[in-house]
Amino acid sequence: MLQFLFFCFSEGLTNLWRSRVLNLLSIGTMMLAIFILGAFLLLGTNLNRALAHWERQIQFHVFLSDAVTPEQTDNLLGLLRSDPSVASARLIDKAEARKRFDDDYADYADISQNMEINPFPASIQVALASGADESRFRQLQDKLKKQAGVEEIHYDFELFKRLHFFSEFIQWTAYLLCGIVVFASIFTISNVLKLTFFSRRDEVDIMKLVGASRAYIRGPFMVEGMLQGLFGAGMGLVLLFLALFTLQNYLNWDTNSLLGQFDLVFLNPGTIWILLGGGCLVGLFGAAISLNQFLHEHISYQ
Amino acid sequence: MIRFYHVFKSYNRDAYSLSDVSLSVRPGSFVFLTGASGAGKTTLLKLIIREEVPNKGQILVNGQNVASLPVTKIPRLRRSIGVVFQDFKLIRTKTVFENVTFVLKTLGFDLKERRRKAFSVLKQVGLQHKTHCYPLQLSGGEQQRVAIARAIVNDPVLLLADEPTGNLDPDMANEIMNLFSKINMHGTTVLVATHDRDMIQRMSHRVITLHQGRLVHDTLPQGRLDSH
Ligand SMILES: Nc1ncnc2c1ncn2[C@@H]1O[C@H](COP(=O)(O)OP(=O)(O)OP(=O)(O)O)[C@@H](O)[C@H]1O
Ligand SMILES: [Mg+2]
Repeated sequence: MLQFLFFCFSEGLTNLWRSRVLNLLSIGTMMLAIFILGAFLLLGTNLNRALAHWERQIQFHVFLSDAVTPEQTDNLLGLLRSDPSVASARLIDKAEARKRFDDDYADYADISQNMEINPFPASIQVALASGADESRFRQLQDKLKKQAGVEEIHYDFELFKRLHFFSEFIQWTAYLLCGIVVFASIFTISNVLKLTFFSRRDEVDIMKLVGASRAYIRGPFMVEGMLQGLFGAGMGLVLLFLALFTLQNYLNWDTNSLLGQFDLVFLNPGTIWILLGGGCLVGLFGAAISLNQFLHEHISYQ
Repeated sequence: MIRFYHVFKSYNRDAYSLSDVSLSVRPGSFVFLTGASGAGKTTLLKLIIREEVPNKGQILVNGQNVASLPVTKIPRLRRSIGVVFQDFKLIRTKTVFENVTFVLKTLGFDLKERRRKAFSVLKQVGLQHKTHCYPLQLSGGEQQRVAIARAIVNDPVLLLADEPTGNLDPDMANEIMNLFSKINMHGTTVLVATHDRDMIQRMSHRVITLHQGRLVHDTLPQGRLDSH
């Protein structure tokens, strides 16, 4: 078995190298396919990360009027904490609100420092329990509005809905692309292999006549297809990484701190393995298809 | 070793390339197959390795019924037979060494073993210095000798050679025939298709003559006519 695999790989690699120009076609297709697919996955991952980040950061805020009394504040906190749809409620007093602004927007810190009175209102930062939907939020909002000391309730629901929708859209596009990409790659690889086989049919006939068995004739072709898929996927990932690296450098060079630092992440190792493995599988599948369609008459013994 | 029972073979409807051929070749014997061009010599050899299937009749090779052999057993049959093809059938994209040792590689011989065997057979055909050439870099006679080396590298029980000296000068042809005799002495059955009358006479072996697809003479070396 090991010896068989060794045979297939050594022959497959030689064949891959021998018809390298033709094989560049399928490797190139695979590379482009993985690049596009990877780019969408990357966008999805980073968008989700950003969303998760923002959700944690903003949540929703109950801004308190400047005239709020400590009793009213305690009352509000108690009310919120006893509500089952609230995960946490934390008081942010005026001093902390100011400090947060200074931390978040360091460049503008001097502005707030120059202001004699603290303009930042105290607020209660509320995180909804997971699973709480918009209607729960509305109920809570109505209840809170009636309470004394509440100035305003701020939750950018629409923005979130849109961002979520966008991120989901990106993900579904990635899935759709995945399908198209898989078909395109299988199609290319199987057709390229048909061509390489065609140029090698005399050779295959000779191998048959000197007694090479079916598996030893087919094996190298399968390996060739698999390696095309693997190399293509690998190169696509490298390309994607370089693109991300460039983008990251560009963004960090150009961004002012108002936007905050962009910290893009590459695909996680699991996804990378899946893409590489997927490349191999697509290659194997393409090879199997071309072997079955075309080689059937030639490699079967009569 | 080889038995034909009333074998018929036609490639198209109107003419038989082999017609009612019956013959028997004993293990360890050395037999010439002769006849005019188009008489059916190559066709007969093709039937033995199941490159072609007869239309009628039975063929036994080494105890196996070749005509009805399951396809999965064909490679094994072919590996037990060394064939020097009339058109050599060398793989253009592989070197002499790779051509000679291809089957050994599928059989799992390691590189060292393959080198040893290849060197030994290439030396016997006088080509040990051309190991890394490609077939198209060789002369016709050299290609033929590579084909011979490949046929004998795996110690076949049966050696079929189709016009194996057609492209060789007389000295080289003699050397090759001596090589075949030596292999035959070690127990391999040898069947050589040729039109070379001089060689047939010199060697005094059994001669089977085909004419237009029919077996017309089967002569033993003593000159005795053998009824078939
Ligand atoms: N693949 C084929 N398709 C059709 N006819 C064929 C085929 N192969 C051989 N023939 C015919 O069969 C007959 C016998 O051919 P074969 O090759 O066996 O002759 P041969 O004795 O080997 O001749 P030569 O000495 O020239 O090699 C010829 O008439 C030839 O035209
Ligand atoms: Mg012939």
